[in-house]
Amino acid sequence: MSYIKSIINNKAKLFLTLIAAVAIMAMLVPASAGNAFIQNMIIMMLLWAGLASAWNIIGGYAGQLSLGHAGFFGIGAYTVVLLAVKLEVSPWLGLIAAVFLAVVAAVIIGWPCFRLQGPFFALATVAVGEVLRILAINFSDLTYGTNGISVKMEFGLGFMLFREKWAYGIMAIAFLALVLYAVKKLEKSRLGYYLVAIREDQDAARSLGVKASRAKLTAYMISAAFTAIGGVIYAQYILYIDPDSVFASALSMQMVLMTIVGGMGTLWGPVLGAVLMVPLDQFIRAYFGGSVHGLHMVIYAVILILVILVIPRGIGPTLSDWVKKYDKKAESEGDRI
Amino acid sequence: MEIWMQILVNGILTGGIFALISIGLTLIFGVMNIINFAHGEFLMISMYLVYWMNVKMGMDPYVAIIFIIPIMFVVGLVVYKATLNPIIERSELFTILMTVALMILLQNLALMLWNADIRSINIDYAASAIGTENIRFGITKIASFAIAIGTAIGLMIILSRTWIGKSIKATSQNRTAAKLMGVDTIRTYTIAFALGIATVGIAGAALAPIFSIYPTVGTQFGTASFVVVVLGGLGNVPGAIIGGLIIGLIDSISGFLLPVGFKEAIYLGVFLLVLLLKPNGLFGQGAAGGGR
Repeated sequence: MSYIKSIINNKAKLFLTLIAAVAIMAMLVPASAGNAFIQNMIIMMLLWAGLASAWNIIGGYAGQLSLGHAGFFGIGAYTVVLLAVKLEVSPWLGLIAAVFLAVVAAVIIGWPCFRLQGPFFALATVAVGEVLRILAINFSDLTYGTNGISVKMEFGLGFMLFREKWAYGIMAIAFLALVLYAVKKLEKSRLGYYLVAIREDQDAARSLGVKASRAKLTAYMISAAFTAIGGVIYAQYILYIDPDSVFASALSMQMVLMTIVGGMGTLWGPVLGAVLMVPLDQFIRAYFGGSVHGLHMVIYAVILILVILVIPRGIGPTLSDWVKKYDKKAESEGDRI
Repeated sequence: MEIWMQILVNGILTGGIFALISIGLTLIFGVMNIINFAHGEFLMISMYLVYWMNVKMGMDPYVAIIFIIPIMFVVGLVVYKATLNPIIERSELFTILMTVALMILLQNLALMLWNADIRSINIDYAASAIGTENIRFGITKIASFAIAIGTAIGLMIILSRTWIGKSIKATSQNRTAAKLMGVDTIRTYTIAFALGIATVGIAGAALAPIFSIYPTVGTQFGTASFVVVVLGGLGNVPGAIIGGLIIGLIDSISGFLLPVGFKEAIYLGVFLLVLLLKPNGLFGQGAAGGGR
């Protein structure tokens, strides 16, 4: 009983529980259980919510614009599939290796860039994302180049490979919950306060003794690790990866876009962004995908420009402000009567 | 030995191209602290304009420059006023994001309008070259090198001799002081952005006879120009020319020694090295990152 009460009192918990409930029901209810389109959309929504939340740690909270997160996504996907195909390593161990490699990559990129102010970090992340894609294409002895690799077809929990879609739904829910839990903890941690201070004014934060480079690097490592996990889940779900799908710069842009649209630097912003953008994306692809190339990216860009110009804080915070204002108005009017 | 001479010549000529692309990027950064991520896409737009002028009207790409300069200048004005001016006082994050959004928009608009076909301009003198038996200078590459030098000199004259050029310089050195001295900073930003886009427009015309044209052609040159600009020092126009020549030589040498496709990896290596050792560029002084 007290748990239910705490859920109702805590909007965040309520929202998460609702999402999980809707997702699980939609996966299992017979009407949609057979509908691959809807199931796929829900899994993608959850996965993207997790990925955008991971980006939010470095982009939203620390205010460091990473434009190459596809690099970590691709590292995750390639590590797990290559280890399984070439060395028959279980994807669960592959997952650990993937996280480790992504964190190492984050240190290599972040360490030189975070000592500097200005746009160096954004520049470096673009370059690294592109270079990883090029390396994946050209080191074809290891990666099979543009041919891509198929995941080994051994089904079962031990192989992290399932015949039923709902199993991936549960994996994606677990992933999202893990990222959100970490972000929630981060928000109230010393590191989280450091990051926000750095975002608002790095010089002021430094003068108060915040070790800015170290804080940013830690946030980047955490963000990279979660993004790699997302890449692993994607590979095990889609069953085939190639450089242009898992290292695509469009992936990096989508993580940024969803976070901005929903609300940067907020716990629920990226989730809201994914809930809005993934269905939009899927419908555009379904209706125009074959005929008009580039259209869905044009729509993305226009949405991004409009959000930056009109509601730079994102839909989530702007909406909740409206609600609060309305509440106050209603209250004060109530007082008068 | 001769092969190395040829590589050197190619490197310097390619370097001129990189320099020409990067001048506008570094000018825009110097004045308003914006890294224009859509820079390569403006290059792509200009290449397509030159291509269509050539195909529809039979215009020589080098003659097209006369029309490209005012067209791209106006494009720059409109884009700046519509997208960047409203958010120029906000955090750097939003201005960078806006140029990223422009990059996605322009790239995919080009894909929608002109599809992914790889196009190229056919002019009869494109393949001709001068030089000795052993070292050849491609005509089109010499032309683009000359255009690069001409544009750089022209831009520097504008910056040092005209009123608007002086306000651009003043604003890039200290925007508050410039404002206090009566410089209209908004107008300065607008003109500087439009000038930057016009120079990358010239680069597009110089590149169109040499390279194939497709919607993502800008990414390739965009990445290189970021490295050039960091190498030369962000905001440093002469630095961008030296940086362009260095990257041109690196490009040419690594193209000879390494398999195709690894060039970009070399750029990144150079980029990270510069960040580690000389974050203000080869000729930079003062605090890292400048500005904000």
